[in-house]
Amino acid sequence: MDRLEEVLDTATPLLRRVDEVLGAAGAPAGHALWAELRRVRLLPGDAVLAVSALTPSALAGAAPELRSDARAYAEVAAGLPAPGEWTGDAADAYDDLRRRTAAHLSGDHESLDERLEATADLAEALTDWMAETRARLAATLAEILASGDALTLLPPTTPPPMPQVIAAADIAAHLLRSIADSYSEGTDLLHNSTSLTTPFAI
Amino acid sequence: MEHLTERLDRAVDIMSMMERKLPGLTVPAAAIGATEAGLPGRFGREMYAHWVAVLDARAREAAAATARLAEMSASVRTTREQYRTTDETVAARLRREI
Repeated sequence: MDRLEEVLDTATPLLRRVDEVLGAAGAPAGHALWAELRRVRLLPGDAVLAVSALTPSALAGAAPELRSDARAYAEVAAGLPAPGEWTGDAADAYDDLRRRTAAHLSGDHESLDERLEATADLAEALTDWMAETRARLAATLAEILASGDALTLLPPTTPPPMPQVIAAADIAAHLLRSIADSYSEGTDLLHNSTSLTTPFAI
Repeated sequence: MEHLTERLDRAVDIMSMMERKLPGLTVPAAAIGATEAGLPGRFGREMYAHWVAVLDARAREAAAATARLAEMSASVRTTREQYRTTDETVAARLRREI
């Protein structure tokens, strides 16, 4: 159980109340919440549940596998046999192709094992991003639970008075901003690794 | 030359195994939020498609390398057979002439 799971049970009633208030009264015109809603396109309760679906362990095994594969490529490259006692033009042509194939499989620049290592780095970065996104949300929720805005939302009143409307909007804006910022970092990870989606030509 | 083809064939086997195992590193779409709504769902679907494309690219690279190694092995094997045929033909001709 990570920090998000721990804090989620405590935070759920508050998130439900925030969603209720916003559903009943909306947010004041010009409030920062509107911009965050346009980014996340979910109310806080659903947004938190969506983030809690992230499962870093699902991708955690990929990086070690890929690094092991990269080592296997290097071993294959090193094991490609030289012509030995075979001599002549055909043997020379074979040896030239053998060397080029070995360099393609394993080397310092644009080799297949380097591509596997870069893919392993991406797997690690995405795994870390999922864990950090969960941790950041947990920290934000803990902050909100301890805030004066959380107290302002008590007791539940219908229709919600203006201080509760503002408190709900402030909480929602804070929460959605944190989530949107995390996903913006995730989007950068994808954009920065676009080259890995194209096979390296032999 | 027999040992060359044996070792090249072993390399082909290893690379084929890599090619087959790479797609197994995909993650369930739900584990990255791809089935959710809003920004988390949209990003989850992008991340899923991205990761599948990355693994597919690595599998294609492995397939191309496998094909090249298989061609090398086949070429060496063909050359060996041609050497053997030439040896046998010349030997037969020399025996006839003696």
